[in-house]
Amino acid sequence: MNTPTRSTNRSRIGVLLVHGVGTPAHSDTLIDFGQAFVGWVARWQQGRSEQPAYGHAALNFTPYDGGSDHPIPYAEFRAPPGPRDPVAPIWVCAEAWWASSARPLAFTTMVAFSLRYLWSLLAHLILGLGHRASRLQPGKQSIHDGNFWYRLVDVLTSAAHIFAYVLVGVTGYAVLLPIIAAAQLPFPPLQNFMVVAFFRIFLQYNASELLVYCEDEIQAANMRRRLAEAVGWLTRPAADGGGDCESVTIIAHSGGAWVAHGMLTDDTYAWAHARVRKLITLGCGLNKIWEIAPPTLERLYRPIEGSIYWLDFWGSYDPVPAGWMTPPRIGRRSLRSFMRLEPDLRPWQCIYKPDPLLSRRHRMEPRSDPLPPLELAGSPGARAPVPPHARAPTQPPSPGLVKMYWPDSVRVINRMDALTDHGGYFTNDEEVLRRVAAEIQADVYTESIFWDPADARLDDAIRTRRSRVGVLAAARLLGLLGGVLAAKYLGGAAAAYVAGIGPIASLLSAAREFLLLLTAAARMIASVASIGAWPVLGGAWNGVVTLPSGYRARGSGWSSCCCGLPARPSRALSG
Amino acid sequence: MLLWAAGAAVTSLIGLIPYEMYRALWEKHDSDERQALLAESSPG
Repeated sequence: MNTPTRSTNRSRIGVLLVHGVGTPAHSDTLIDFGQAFVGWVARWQQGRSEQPAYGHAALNFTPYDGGSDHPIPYAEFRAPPGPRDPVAPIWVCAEAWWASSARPLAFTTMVAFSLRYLWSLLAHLILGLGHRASRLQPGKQSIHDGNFWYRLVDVLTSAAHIFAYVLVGVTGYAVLLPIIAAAQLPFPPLQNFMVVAFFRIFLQYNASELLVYCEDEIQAANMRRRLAEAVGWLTRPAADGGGDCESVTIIAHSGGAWVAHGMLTDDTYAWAHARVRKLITLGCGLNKIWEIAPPTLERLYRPIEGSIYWLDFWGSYDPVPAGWMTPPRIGRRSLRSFMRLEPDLRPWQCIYKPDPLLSRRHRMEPRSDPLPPLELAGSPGARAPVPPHARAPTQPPSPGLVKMYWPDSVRVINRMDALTDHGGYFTNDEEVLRRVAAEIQADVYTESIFWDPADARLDDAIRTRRSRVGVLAAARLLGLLGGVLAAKYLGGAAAAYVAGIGPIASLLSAAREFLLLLTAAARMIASVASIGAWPVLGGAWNGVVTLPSGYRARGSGWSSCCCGLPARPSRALSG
Repeated sequence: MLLWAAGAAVTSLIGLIPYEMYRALWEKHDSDERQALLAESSPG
């Protein structure tokens, strides 16, 4: 791919939306993400009695990867001008679609992977439970946490998630194992029903992209190419048929984060790196890929360098990142550090090297641990004067470890629910959407018109929202408790009642008859087999009895009496 | 066993249906709160 020409138009801001794992159709990401981010700005404008203005839009519904950058789906939106903007900027939102750039892996491979995934989720939840429990103590909560009851609900919800994961894991695999066994039978209709109807769609098509990106270099390169081409198109001058933006902000969700990281660390696309000013990851999938990839796969651990500002949002209950971004350490862990008898002093993989100008502008400071600093309640300055690095650390710095830069990490509370939290970023106005809009609009988000640093209502709104979500989580816990108690005490009676309902009683009766039929068939097969076994046994006995005499009579070779074949003539007689 | 599981699943709805009804109300309230915040915090 030749280096595309570059636009110098600063009145147009490129926004590249990258989807995660799964099978979204072409243009789905632009529509869904666009409605969230651009929709938030439109609602903000409506709050000021302004009408949002949309420009050109071109969607693409081609169901396959056509192998070129044309036509990339895009939509234009005229954003409100900032204090330094001479004219209202136009956001050009485009989509990098790579869903059909991967071939699914074998189902059994994915089942093995799912076991490791479940185990890592449990480990992270147990670790997170400890963190949450520590916040119950007065003075240990963050400035955005609610009161004691909110934090207690947080701890209980976390404990309930651990219980639910174990229960679902045990039940799920108990169902999965017979399905896997049945799917091995060489009968396609059965295989299709067993595998496709149950787990194949999720495991093979949703989760296998992660393994494909690790293990298949050609497909991984193709995914990175999709992103680079979208950056190239966005920054190409209008005269050349491009999006006519000088620079691009990449917003990547879930597995899109590892594709974006891959493109931004791949020297093949060095021209594109210089055109990206920000990378915003939501529910970043890099933690997952670092967990399963071999440490020798160097391309996954390269640092993003230069003048790209990296901001990472992670939901507190989102099972994909399962916490803040934590790359693996270098080297093997000693037994003593594993037993917590000594600190773990292995160096971290460096994943981010911003240039000095960028780190100063965004007030980033190096740390010896990826654990993001906790902004404690009551720490000086909740908002304006205190940049993230100046907030109270949650743990003492580790002596002996090299300090390095990490992506700016923002912990958010979506719905306190592992089932929906991975997609909850797009409805979290207070913690996510406002900040993302501010990041797109201004170089430093606090200088955006969407973010007034002096407005204490923004912090209050986050606390209020978390309390609101806490009430929902408490209702969920009560509902679950009610459900479990009802199942325990009324489940038997309900089962007896259900068994008496007409159609179900008929089904049960049919199932009973079917079982009886199966039993009778098994008995019949056993009888036939036993009848057939008598001649075989008789023949065998006959052979045992007559073999020695036959062998003696012929002098050499086997007698024909026991196997029904003519006696093999001796080599001497046949001449 | 399967029959008991079916019965348990049905009776567990006693707890889950009220929660789902509450959640629907919560979503509406959440949407209203978010919109109110946008109206309040928009300068100008």
